[in-house]
Amino acid sequence: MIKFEHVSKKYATGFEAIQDVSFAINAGELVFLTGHSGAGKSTILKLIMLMERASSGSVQIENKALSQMGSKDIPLHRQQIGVVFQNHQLLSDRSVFDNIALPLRICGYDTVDAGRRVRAALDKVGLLSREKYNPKLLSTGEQQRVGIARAIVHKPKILLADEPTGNLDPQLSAEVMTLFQQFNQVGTTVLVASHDLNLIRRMNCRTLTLKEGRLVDDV
Amino acid sequence: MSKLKSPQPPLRGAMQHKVSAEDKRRRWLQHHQEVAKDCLRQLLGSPVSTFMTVLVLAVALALPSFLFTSLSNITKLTDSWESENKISLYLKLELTESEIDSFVQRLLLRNDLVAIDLIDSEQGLLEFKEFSGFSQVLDSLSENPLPAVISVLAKDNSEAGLATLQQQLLAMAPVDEALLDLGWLKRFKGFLLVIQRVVITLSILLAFAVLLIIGNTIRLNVENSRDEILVSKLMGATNAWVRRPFLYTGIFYGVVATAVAWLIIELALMTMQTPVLQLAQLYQTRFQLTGLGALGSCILLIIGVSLGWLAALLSVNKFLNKLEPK
Repeated sequence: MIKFEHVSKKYATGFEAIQDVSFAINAGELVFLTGHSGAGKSTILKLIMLMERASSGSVQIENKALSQMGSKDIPLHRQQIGVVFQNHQLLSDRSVFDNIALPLRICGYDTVDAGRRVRAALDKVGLLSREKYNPKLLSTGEQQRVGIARAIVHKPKILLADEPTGNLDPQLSAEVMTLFQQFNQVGTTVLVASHDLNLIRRMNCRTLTLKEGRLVDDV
Repeated sequence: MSKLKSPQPPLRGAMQHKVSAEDKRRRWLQHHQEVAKDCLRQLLGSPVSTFMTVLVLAVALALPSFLFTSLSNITKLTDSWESENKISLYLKLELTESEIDSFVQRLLLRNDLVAIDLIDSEQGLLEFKEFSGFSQVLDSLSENPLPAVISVLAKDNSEAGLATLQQQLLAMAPVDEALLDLGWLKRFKGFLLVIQRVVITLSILLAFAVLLIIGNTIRLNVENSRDEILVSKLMGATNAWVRRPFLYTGIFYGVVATAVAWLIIELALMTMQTPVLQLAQLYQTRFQLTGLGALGSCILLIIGVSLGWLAALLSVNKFLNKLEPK
């Protein structure tokens, strides 16, 4: 599903975020990506999403090389991926419902169908009663779950999460992780970047460890 | 904190991952409608600033259009003069009526003249009194100061032919002065050409102004929607999808500003109609001011809409280009 082959990324500033990283994640896997901040976790997620392009090496998603994709192919590529951001990136000018409906509008879903799917996603993260709220009025944990609902509402094949538990207490973190496990169980490939080692250990999943831009462990 | 629910099998419809092409097309149209409505709501939500922007744009569009309309009116007027190859013969004051009559007879025999029109001094005085407003001054004069005038229409309308004819007529004894109207007409046309260039330059400058005004307004809108654009792009929104609301806003400004500009021009022409008619009567011509007309209005609309669209496109693209992965 996700395949990195000798991938390096050097930013315009000269900073080498990752060097010679190779790994492969199969469809339906739940994998953690860990390492200190600045180790290159975010860069790997950005490369998968085509927010950045690799300086060398090849990144393949579903056997398609991303280097072959032009600007016109990026939207469709991104529509296959759901992303949970650390700072959840919810839009404060609209309701929870409209936030979650955004990916469906982008993908071109019918309004009625979209409404059903948004409620199904809200139900899954246990926030059905909050659909009309402005996200600003929700707690951090709830905001993060709205972010998750938005990431999975269009049933992406791949779910990426960048420090999804960064601002949450251990109990909320565990709840969020349980959600990821549930999505993984229905066949979604999940890649979670996190430096919360305790949590990762408890999850007992495959973990990729990065150190100063190099992949040092894959267990 | 509400409790998390265990995963439930979602509704059947929600299991489908694909969207059919037919659905996409329908949804695309639906999105256009939604976006158009949204942008209208947004613009009407801040009526004062929208109105001010529209007004500035309308003035910038109306000014060159008004000048072009005026120019075309003047050109039309001069064209109507040119078609008459008229030479005015001012006869010597001391001529008697019979002498004038015999001169007219002589002119009638010439085959290089199409028409001969005698305005004797009495008739000339009457007309002059009627149209000039100097009737009291003229009444106080003991003698009629005006000579008899014969206006002749030449068959040959080439410039050289007219000049030769003028010389021939001037050489005739009863003629005091033979005036060809083309001399000043030529100078006037040269002058019009210069004015035309000035108007074109001004129009281009004002078109840039319209582009900048709409572009800047849209740029501010883009800045305000920054987060939405960034998030949408990450979720796989196409550039066209992101651009759509801004293009609608640009086109809206273009359409409304054009409509207001059109009103300004028509109102200005309406207020000019009466004085122009009076002026035309003084010159004994029937002249009707023409407005923009269907073609002119269409061109104005196309220019307005294109400028709005282009300004929006440039503003959004500038932002979107920064988001391309490197």
